[in-house]
Amino acid sequence: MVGVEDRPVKENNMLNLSTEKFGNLRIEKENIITFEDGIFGFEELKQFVIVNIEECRPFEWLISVENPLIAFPVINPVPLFTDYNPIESIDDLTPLGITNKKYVETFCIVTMNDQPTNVTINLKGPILVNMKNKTGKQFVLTEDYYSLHHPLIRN
Amino acid sequence: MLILTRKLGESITIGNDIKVTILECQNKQVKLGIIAPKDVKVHREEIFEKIQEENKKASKISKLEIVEIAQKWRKDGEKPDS
Repeated sequence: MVGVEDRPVKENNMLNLSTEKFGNLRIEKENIITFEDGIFGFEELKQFVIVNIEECRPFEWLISVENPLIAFPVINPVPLFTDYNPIESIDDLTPLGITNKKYVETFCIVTMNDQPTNVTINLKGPILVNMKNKTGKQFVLTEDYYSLHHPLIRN
Repeated sequence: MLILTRKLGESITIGNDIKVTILECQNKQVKLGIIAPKDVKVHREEIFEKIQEENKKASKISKLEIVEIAQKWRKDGEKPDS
Protein backbone atom coordinates (compact mmCIF):
# COMPACT_ATOMS: atom_id res chain seq x y z
CA MET A 1 0.00 0.00 0.00
CA VAL A 2 1.29 3.40 -0.91
CA GLY A 3 1.54 5.91 1.92
CA VAL A 4 0.14 9.38 1.48
CA GLU A 5 3.61 10.93 1.37
CA ASP A 6 4.69 8.51 -1.36
CA ARG A 7 1.94 9.49 -3.72
CA PRO A 8 3.02 11.43 -6.75
CA VAL A 9 2.39 15.14 -6.38
CA LYS A 10 0.27 15.00 -9.53
CA GLU A 11 -2.32 12.83 -7.76
CA ASN A 12 -4.25 15.96 -6.74
CA ASN A 13 -4.54 16.89 -10.36
CA MET A 14 -6.19 13.62 -11.29
CA LEU A 15 -9.84 12.71 -11.31
CA ASN A 16 -11.53 9.33 -11.43
CA LEU A 17 -14.40 8.89 -13.83
CA SER A 18 -16.59 5.82 -13.49
CA THR A 19 -17.85 5.47 -17.00
CA GLU A 20 -20.30 2.93 -18.32
CA LYS A 21 -18.57 2.42 -21.64
CA PHE A 22 -14.93 2.39 -20.56
CA GLY A 23 -14.90 1.40 -16.89
CA ASN A 24 -12.80 3.59 -14.62
CA LEU A 25 -10.84 6.33 -16.31
CA ARG A 26 -8.26 8.55 -14.68
CA ILE A 27 -8.13 11.95 -16.26
CA GLU A 28 -6.08 15.03 -15.61
CA LYS A 29 -8.16 17.88 -14.25
CA GLU A 30 -6.37 20.33 -16.47
CA ASN A 31 -7.81 18.54 -19.51
CA ILE A 32 -11.39 19.31 -18.51
CA ILE A 33 -13.14 21.43 -21.11
CA THR A 34 -15.90 23.80 -20.07
CA PHE A 35 -18.99 24.04 -22.29
CA GLU A 36 -20.96 26.94 -20.87
CA ASP A 37 -24.00 26.09 -22.96
CA GLY A 38 -23.57 22.34 -22.62
CA ILE A 39 -24.18 20.19 -25.68
CA PHE A 40 -27.53 20.36 -27.50
CA GLY A 41 -29.90 18.02 -25.68
CA PHE A 42 -27.56 17.93 -22.67
CA GLU A 43 -27.58 21.59 -21.73
CA GLU A 44 -27.11 20.83 -18.02
CA LEU A 45 -23.71 19.21 -18.59
CA LYS A 46 -20.93 21.78 -18.67
CA GLN A 47 -17.70 19.83 -18.26
CA PHE A 48 -16.25 17.28 -20.63
CA VAL A 49 -13.00 15.57 -21.47
CA ILE A 50 -11.82 14.22 -24.79
CA VAL A 51 -10.50 10.72 -24.35
CA ASN A 52 -8.44 8.87 -26.90
CA ILE A 53 -8.79 5.11 -26.69
CA GLU A 54 -6.32 3.24 -28.84
CA GLU A 55 -8.70 0.64 -30.28
CA CYS A 56 -11.24 3.33 -31.23
CA ARG A 57 -8.87 5.48 -33.26
CA PRO A 58 -9.37 7.64 -35.32
CA PHE A 59 -12.50 8.17 -33.23
CA GLU A 60 -12.29 9.81 -29.84
CA TRP A 61 -14.82 10.19 -27.05
CA LEU A 62 -16.27 13.32 -25.54
CA ILE A 63 -17.14 12.22 -22.01
CA SER A 64 -19.15 14.18 -19.47
CA VAL A 65 -17.27 14.74 -16.22
CA GLU A 66 -20.48 15.47 -14.34
CA ASN A 67 -22.29 12.42 -15.67
CA PRO A 68 -19.71 9.94 -17.00
CA LEU A 69 -22.50 7.72 -18.30
CA ILE A 70 -22.81 10.22 -21.14
CA ALA A 71 -20.15 9.88 -23.84
CA PHE A 72 -20.25 10.88 -27.49
CA PRO A 73 -18.08 9.33 -30.18
CA VAL A 74 -16.40 12.16 -32.09
CA ILE A 75 -13.94 12.54 -34.91
CA ASN A 76 -11.79 15.37 -36.17
CA PRO A 77 -13.34 16.04 -39.59
CA VAL A 78 -10.66 18.40 -40.84
CA PRO A 79 -8.24 15.78 -42.28
CA LEU A 80 -11.19 13.89 -43.82
CA PHE A 81 -13.03 16.68 -45.57
CA THR A 82 -10.62 19.14 -47.00
CA ASP A 83 -13.21 21.78 -47.84
CA TYR A 84 -14.89 21.64 -44.43
CA ASN A 85 -13.65 24.44 -42.24
CA PRO A 86 -16.18 25.54 -39.61
CA ILE A 87 -13.70 27.84 -37.90
CA GLU A 88 -13.90 30.05 -40.97
CA SER A 89 -17.71 29.72 -41.36
CA ILE A 90 -18.49 30.92 -37.85
CA ASP A 91 -18.46 34.69 -37.59
CA ASP A 92 -18.39 34.93 -33.85
CA LEU A 93 -15.87 32.79 -32.03
CA THR A 94 -15.97 34.92 -28.86
CA PRO A 95 -17.73 32.18 -26.83
CA LEU A 96 -14.42 30.33 -27.10
CA GLY A 97 -12.43 33.33 -25.90
CA ILE A 98 -10.46 33.14 -29.10
CA THR A 99 -7.10 34.77 -29.18
CA ASN A 100 -5.60 32.57 -31.84
CA LYS A 101 -7.45 30.25 -34.19
CA LYS A 102 -4.57 27.81 -34.21
CA TYR A 103 -5.61 26.58 -30.76
CA VAL A 104 -9.09 25.65 -31.97
CA GLU A 105 -9.79 22.00 -32.67
CA THR A 106 -12.90 20.76 -34.42
CA PHE A 107 -14.85 17.63 -33.59
CA CYS A 108 -17.97 16.21 -35.17
CA ILE A 109 -20.29 13.81 -33.40
CA VAL A 110 -20.70 10.39 -34.98
CA THR A 111 -24.23 9.29 -35.65
CA MET A 112 -25.32 5.84 -36.63
CA ASN A 113 -28.43 4.78 -38.44
CA ASP A 114 -30.16 1.42 -38.40
CA GLN A 115 -27.33 -0.28 -40.19
CA PRO A 116 -23.94 -0.04 -38.57
CA THR A 117 -22.38 0.34 -42.01
CA ASN A 118 -24.20 3.65 -42.38
CA VAL A 119 -21.87 5.68 -40.24
CA THR A 120 -22.45 9.38 -40.56
CA ILE A 121 -21.15 12.47 -38.84
CA ASN A 122 -22.87 15.71 -38.00
CA LEU A 123 -21.19 18.43 -40.06
CA LYS A 124 -24.03 20.86 -39.34
CA GLY A 125 -23.35 21.04 -35.59
CA PRO A 126 -19.58 20.90 -35.08
CA ILE A 127 -17.99 21.11 -31.66
CA LEU A 128 -15.16 23.59 -31.46
CA VAL A 129 -12.70 23.52 -28.59
CA ASN A 130 -10.16 26.17 -27.73
CA MET A 131 -7.39 23.96 -26.39
CA LYS A 132 -5.55 26.92 -24.91
CA ASN A 133 -8.23 27.95 -22.41
CA LYS A 134 -10.16 24.65 -22.48
CA THR A 135 -13.44 26.15 -23.62
CA GLY A 136 -15.81 24.41 -25.99
CA LYS A 137 -19.10 24.98 -27.73
CA GLN A 138 -21.34 23.16 -30.16
CA PHE A 139 -22.15 25.52 -33.01
CA VAL A 140 -24.83 25.33 -35.68
CA LEU A 141 -23.59 26.27 -39.13
CA THR A 142 -25.99 28.36 -41.18
CA GLU A 143 -24.89 26.93 -44.52
CA ASP A 144 -27.59 24.70 -45.98
CA TYR A 145 -25.21 22.26 -47.61
CA TYR A 146 -23.83 20.91 -44.34
CA SER A 147 -25.64 17.75 -43.33
CA LEU A 148 -26.48 16.24 -39.96
CA HIS A 149 -25.83 12.86 -41.54
CA HIS A 150 -22.78 13.17 -43.72
CA PRO A 151 -21.60 9.68 -44.75
CA LEU A 152 -18.27 8.85 -43.21
CA ILE A 153 -17.66 5.55 -44.90
CA ARG A 154 -18.52 4.74 -48.45
CA ASN A 155 -20.39 1.45 -48.82
CA MET B 1 -48.20 36.73 -31.38
CA LEU B 2 -48.32 39.57 -33.87
CA ILE B 3 -49.97 38.44 -37.09
CA LEU B 4 -49.41 40.36 -40.33
CA THR B 5 -50.64 39.69 -43.85
CA ARG B 6 -48.17 40.37 -46.66
CA LYS B 7 -48.27 40.05 -50.42
CA LEU B 8 -45.58 38.60 -52.66
CA GLY B 9 -42.61 40.95 -52.78
CA GLU B 10 -43.62 42.80 -49.63
CA SER B 11 -41.52 42.88 -46.49
CA ILE B 12 -41.63 43.33 -42.77
CA THR B 13 -38.90 44.89 -40.70
CA ILE B 14 -37.87 43.84 -37.21
CA GLY B 15 -36.04 46.47 -35.23
CA ASN B 16 -33.79 48.74 -37.22
CA ASP B 17 -31.76 46.27 -39.17
CA ILE B 18 -33.72 43.09 -39.88
CA LYS B 19 -35.85 42.78 -42.98
CA VAL B 20 -37.85 39.74 -44.08
CA THR B 21 -39.24 39.67 -47.62
CA ILE B 22 -41.76 37.25 -49.15
CA LEU B 23 -39.98 36.06 -52.30
CA GLU B 24 -42.10 33.19 -53.47
CA CYS B 25 -45.35 31.51 -52.53
CA GLN B 26 -46.16 28.12 -54.01
CA ASN B 27 -47.95 24.94 -52.94
CA LYS B 28 -48.04 25.72 -49.23
CA GLN B 29 -44.38 26.74 -49.32
CA VAL B 30 -43.18 30.24 -48.68
CA LYS B 31 -39.72 31.39 -49.67
CA LEU B 32 -38.37 34.14 -47.44
CA GLY B 33 -35.47 36.47 -47.99
CA ILE B 34 -33.83 37.69 -44.81
CA ILE B 35 -31.49 40.61 -44.39
CA ALA B 36 -29.97 40.76 -40.92
CA PRO B 37 -26.70 41.81 -39.30
CA LYS B 38 -23.98 39.15 -39.28
CA ASP B 39 -24.26 38.56 -35.55
CA VAL B 40 -27.94 37.64 -35.84
CA LYS B 41 -28.07 33.91 -36.45
CA VAL B 42 -30.91 32.76 -38.66
CA HIS B 43 -31.83 29.09 -38.48
CA ARG B 44 -34.77 26.94 -39.42
CA GLU B 45 -36.52 26.32 -36.11
CA GLU B 46 -36.34 22.53 -36.33
CA ILE B 47 -32.56 22.36 -36.70
CA PHE B 48 -31.89 22.68 -32.96
CA GLU B 49 -34.37 19.94 -32.23
CA LYS B 50 -32.75 17.70 -34.84
CA ILE B 51 -29.27 18.25 -33.43
CA GLN B 52 -30.55 17.48 -29.93
CA GLU B 53 -32.01 14.21 -31.22
CA GLU B 54 -28.79 13.31 -33.02
CA ASN B 55 -26.75 14.00 -29.90
CA LYS B 56 -29.05 11.81 -27.81
CA LYS B 57 -28.72 8.99 -30.31
CA ALA B 58 -24.95 9.41 -30.42
CA SER B 59 -24.68 9.19 -26.63
CA LYS B 60 -26.10 5.67 -26.86
CA ILE B 61 -23.45 4.37 -29.26
CA SER B 62 -21.35 1.74 -27.52
CA LYS B 63 -17.59 1.45 -27.43
CA LEU B 64 -17.87 -1.88 -29.25
CA GLU B 65 -19.72 -0.30 -32.17
CA ILE B 66 -16.99 2.30 -32.58
CA VAL B 67 -14.23 -0.30 -32.20
CA GLU B 68 -15.84 -2.35 -34.98
CA ILE B 69 -16.08 0.63 -37.32
CA ALA B 70 -12.51 1.64 -36.53
CA GLN B 71 -11.26 -1.89 -37.24
CA LYS B 72 -13.20 -2.15 -40.47
CA TRP B 73 -11.92 1.23 -41.54
CA ARG B 74 -8.31 0.26 -40.92
CA LYS B 75 -8.66 -3.22 -42.42
CA ASP B 76 -10.43 -2.21 -45.62
CA GLY B 77 -8.49 0.98 -45.96
CA GLU B 78 -11.86 2.57 -46.56
CA LYS B 79 -11.83 6.24 -47.20
CA PRO B 80 -14.62 8.57 -46.22
CA ASP B 81 -16.65 10.30 -48.86
CA SER B 82 -15.54 13.78 -49.62
